[in-house]
Amino acid sequence: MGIDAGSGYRVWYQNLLDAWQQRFSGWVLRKIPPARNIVLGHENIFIIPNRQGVGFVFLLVLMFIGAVNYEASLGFALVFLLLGMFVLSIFYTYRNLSGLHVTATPGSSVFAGEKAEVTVILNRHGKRIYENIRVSFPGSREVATDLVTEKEQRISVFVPAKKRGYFSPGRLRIETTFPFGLSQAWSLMDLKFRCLVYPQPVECDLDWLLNSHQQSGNTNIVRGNDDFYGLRSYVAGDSLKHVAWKVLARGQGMYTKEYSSNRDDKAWLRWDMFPDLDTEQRLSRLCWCVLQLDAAGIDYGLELPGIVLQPSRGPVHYDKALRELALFGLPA
Amino acid sequence: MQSKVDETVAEIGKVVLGKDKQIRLALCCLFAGGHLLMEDKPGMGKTTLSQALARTFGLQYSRIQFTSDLLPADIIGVSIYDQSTSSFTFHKGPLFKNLILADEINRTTPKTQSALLEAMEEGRVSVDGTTYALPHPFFVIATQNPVSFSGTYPLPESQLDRFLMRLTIGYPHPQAERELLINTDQRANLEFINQCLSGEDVIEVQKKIAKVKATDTLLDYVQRLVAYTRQDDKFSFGLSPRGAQALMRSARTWALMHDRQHVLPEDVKTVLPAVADHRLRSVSDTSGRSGESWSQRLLNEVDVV
Amino acid sequence: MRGFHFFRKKSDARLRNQDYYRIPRFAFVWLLASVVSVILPHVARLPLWLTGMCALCITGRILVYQGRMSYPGKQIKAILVLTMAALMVLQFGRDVFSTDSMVGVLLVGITLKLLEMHRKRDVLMVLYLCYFTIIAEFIYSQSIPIAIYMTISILVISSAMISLNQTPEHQSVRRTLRLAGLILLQSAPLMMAFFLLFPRISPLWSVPVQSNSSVTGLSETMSPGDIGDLARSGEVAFRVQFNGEMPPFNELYWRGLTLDNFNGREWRRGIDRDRPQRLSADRQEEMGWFREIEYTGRRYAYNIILEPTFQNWIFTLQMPSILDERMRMRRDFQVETFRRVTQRFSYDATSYLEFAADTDQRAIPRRSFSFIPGDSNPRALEFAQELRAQHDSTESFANAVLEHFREEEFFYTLSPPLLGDAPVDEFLFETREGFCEHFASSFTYLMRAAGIPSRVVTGYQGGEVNPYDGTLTVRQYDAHAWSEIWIQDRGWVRVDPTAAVAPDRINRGTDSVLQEDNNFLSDEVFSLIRLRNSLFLNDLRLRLEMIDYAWNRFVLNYDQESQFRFFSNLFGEVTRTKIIMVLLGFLALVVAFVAFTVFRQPAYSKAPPATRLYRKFCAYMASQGFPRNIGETPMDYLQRMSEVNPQWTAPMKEITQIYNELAFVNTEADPEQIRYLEHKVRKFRLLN
Repeated sequence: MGIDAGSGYRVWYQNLLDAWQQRFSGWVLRKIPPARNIVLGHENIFIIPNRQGVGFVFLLVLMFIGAVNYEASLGFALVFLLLGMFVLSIFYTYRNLSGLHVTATPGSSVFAGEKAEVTVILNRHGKRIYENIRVSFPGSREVATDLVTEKEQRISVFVPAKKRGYFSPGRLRIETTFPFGLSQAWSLMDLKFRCLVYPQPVECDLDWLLNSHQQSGNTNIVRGNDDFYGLRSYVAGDSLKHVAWKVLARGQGMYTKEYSSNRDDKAWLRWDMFPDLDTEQRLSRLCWCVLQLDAAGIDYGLELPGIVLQPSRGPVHYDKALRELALFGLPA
Repeated sequence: MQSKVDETVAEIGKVVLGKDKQIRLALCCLFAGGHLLMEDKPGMGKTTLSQALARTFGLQYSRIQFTSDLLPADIIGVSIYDQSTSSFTFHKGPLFKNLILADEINRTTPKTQSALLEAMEEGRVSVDGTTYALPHPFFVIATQNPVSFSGTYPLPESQLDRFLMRLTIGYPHPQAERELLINTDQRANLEFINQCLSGEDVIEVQKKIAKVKATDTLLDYVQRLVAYTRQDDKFSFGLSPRGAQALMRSARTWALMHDRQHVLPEDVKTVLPAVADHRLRSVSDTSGRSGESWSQRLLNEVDVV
Repeated sequence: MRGFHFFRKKSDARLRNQDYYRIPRFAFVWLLASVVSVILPHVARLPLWLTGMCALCITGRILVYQGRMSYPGKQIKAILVLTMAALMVLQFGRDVFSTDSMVGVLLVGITLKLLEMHRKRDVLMVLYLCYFTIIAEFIYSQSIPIAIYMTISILVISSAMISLNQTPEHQSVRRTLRLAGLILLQSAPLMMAFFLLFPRISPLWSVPVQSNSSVTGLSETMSPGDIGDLARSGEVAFRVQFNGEMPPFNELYWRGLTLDNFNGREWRRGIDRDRPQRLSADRQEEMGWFREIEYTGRRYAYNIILEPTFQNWIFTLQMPSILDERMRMRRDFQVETFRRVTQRFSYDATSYLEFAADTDQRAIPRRSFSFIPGDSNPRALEFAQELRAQHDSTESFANAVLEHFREEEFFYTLSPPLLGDAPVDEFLFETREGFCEHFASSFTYLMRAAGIPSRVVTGYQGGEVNPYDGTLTVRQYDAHAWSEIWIQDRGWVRVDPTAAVAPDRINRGTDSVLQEDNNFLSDEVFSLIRLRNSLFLNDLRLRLEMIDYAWNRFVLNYDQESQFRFFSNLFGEVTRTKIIMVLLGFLALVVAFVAFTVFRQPAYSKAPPATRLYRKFCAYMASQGFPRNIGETPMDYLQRMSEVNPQWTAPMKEITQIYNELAFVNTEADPEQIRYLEHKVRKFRLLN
């Protein structure tokens, strides 16, 4: 009975907390609309005395009682001086954020499960310096920084990217308790930051897949670079690593070793290569295949329901293929 | 100075019709000691312009046609085993000239591209652990097709930054086009282009550039332009400090080419599209290439004074 | 990732705190400096083992920081705490709850906490305690040097707080210190306003006061040698500021204790026979005995700031007529406070030097005032009775005794020989060397032996006048004892037998008489008071004392009453709401000022004058319907306008050219040209 009541209370409390958080986030959204760059000022900085600040006020009360009881005039002076310091510290904390320009630049694309790098750029103008500003995204570590001598500070924050598709790290929290740590000023902002998250690569037996699904029936093309194929006469510019030194040493002239990387071969990566798996699992495996084929320098094509990429290679094609995999089936 | 420039422009104008502004910008780029990238669709006269430029400067030049099977060694040179001396001797590649015309640079593999760009950046090349200095002055005029054309390896942003300017030539003016149609072989005129400038002229100009004055008001304007690219929503990439420096250097050279010892906002406005377009990247354009001139918008949204 | 992280999630917090917090190097140094700076002023008062304990903990902490030692484990900490507690009980015994021991606990607590800093919160705790320790120091001393020292201490502690909140990469001692100083400086006006106006509350409960053993001053009893001891000390007893004229120097008898009970060796207080009289200006009831006092002659008003005596009697000029409500006068004219004087105590008093008290014979019990233990000093008794027989009036008998002191070989000295069981006899007939208490005691004994009601009074006599502010400083070596005898129809009359032996003592002060005495000021080895012989240094000392007096009077003794006076001077009638309004108003003023300086956004550099003029010109053109486009250069604008509006071309061309010249050609602006441009712009606006 008691346990029921307790958990009932906990559920009720949790609901209340959720409702309040939802309310607050809605309010923040309205108060600080998403923007690519934000100047911190009175309309987007929140400030309250923190726990240490409350402790400090408690200390002042104790000191005041001490001063009253011992009738120590200087004790009063000290209490009032510290009170003034406390009040001022609130302004100083605010000042340590206000006027700061905040932007974020998109980092490069990552694979799901990795951490996406967000570069937060803080700019200052004028003589005011900023100290110990802590920057974080939900789920990331806090990064502290200063703008003392430098006008601009770039901070890399790593946020775990869990799902493929366009990734937004949530609201940036920028926070400071400088100078005394008695009050806390902070702001939450959506910097409209987006980066692409590719599916998480999952290893699979590529040779087997290609063999069993390839029309041309070529085998062993993936590891082509490794197998010696024959010799041809040396052409200026050929890698010296591939010169057939043994032949040269025999005085038979300069030859270049050729390997059985057949440049004309094309691999097709198809959606129905993995009949037993669900969408995400298929995409993960396809992604891994793309990585392997790109590294091997083999032309590959991609065939997803409704999307066909003709076989090609190179960075543009690679990007395009991964992009399709990342965004497959997601609303635009 | 101005007369010399006018003369040169007239000379090049013999083969590239009605493109005075582009010719002047190209000259400006070379005077400023920067490398030039010309980007346009095939057949727009990129190669003609670059060859004409090379001739008027009277510099030693070599033309390299970049293809997908071109290897770094083909442009840098190779160490070849000499059986008579039983040692390797270095055979300099075509890169060891004052002026390089790198045609269709985006047709070749990234490996070869970066070999060229490294040479541009550092003014020297290393082969098998030995460093060879490139001649001075050293210019690269590269041409490339727009990225949307297939079979290309686009240059990455970091390497685009190494070109001081990027020019597009554009379709000719109707009048010029007509002249083109009348003359059967415009290219043949290349043979008749005279040398108007010398390598010494270029070095002379480069010395003078630093002395061209830029007032606070002007620098404020430039800073506003740069800040705008960094802060505005439309750009995902702002101008780098190197980009800003390139802008000022080009504007100074432009002023010098007009016999002025101070930079006017007009100079900045003129050179900005050529200097900034390839360094900016808009938000909506993830591939990094766009037909639209972002810098034109920039000029229309940042006030001069 | 639900919701925004308005509240920091627990997991995040744990993420940050999972390792032992390592305090940044700069903050650590600041912290140590703070702790040492607040402990230092206490060291002289602390038992040696306690100082040692603090030093041990601090050293231990440094070793931990350097990595040469690990944090002490639970057992070691427990041992340390227990040892501490045991030593505390041993040291202070029953006084374990006294202020001294509390301060000791506080200091040891701070240093022990140093050994247990695992989180930022712990460091903060130490710093808070440091602030608190400053208050503890103020219990003992609030002198100017201590105030200055403590200001520095506050600066150091505040710097430590700042340092703790700075990133380790960008710390500089100067910047931290400057910021702390700036903030403290900015809090000063607020502090001042609150200090002056914040209602002072009387103590909420009585606090254990520090032990009084170390305090020098008059004691409750008087036996030979007591007051002589005081002459070793140059400590200030109290300071007096007269409101108007000061009485003649030899009339400055600061009456303290009335001692009317003699046991043969020692004088003590007797028993009260009547209720004490309050002397506040608006007193309701007056005792019968008090009503009979006749005040005549001049009235003297003065303020006294008494150093803590840990007794409840205070000093006034005889005979006080008005005192404030914290004090009362007893039947024997001794003035007392209701609470012991544990802090500097300031009071205003009004006295008449001429008065007649207890003139009526019935007013005093003759027998108790002339009681002497019968067998204590037989020779003196005999001598007195013989002498009394030769004189018919009390006055002439007293004069004869004084004459005896003067005529015979009596010496006034600080180092008299020790006296045995019959001190009066020994002094009068053998040693004949003594200090004021010897003379007062013997004289009173002789009076009593002759049946004259008499008593001993102790207090201070004289003082030192500071020429810079006119205050009178009374020191311990000014302590004095004299007699009062009762004469029919005249009442109680002061008789000072010392004056008979050493008239200079009364007319010019103790130091003029005892300058050569070895024991004089022997406790004050390093004190400035020893430097009185150098004219320059003495001058310096007097100036410092003047400042010290002002400090005591206006800062340390700024109490409810002075606050009331200050407030009513400024704002008229004092009401609670008014005080609150004024305080809040002041707070708002300060906050507004600070907000103004703090909230101001960083200023962007202002455009140069030429540009501002040109913008003005463009604004005018826009108002005429021809605005300059954004991004249009002045030259392009001119070009466009000359096509649209040819009649403007000439003046506009002029303006544009001058502006171009100023803005883009000349690196140094020529004021002449700017004026010219201004002129042209104005002309353009007038003509078009």
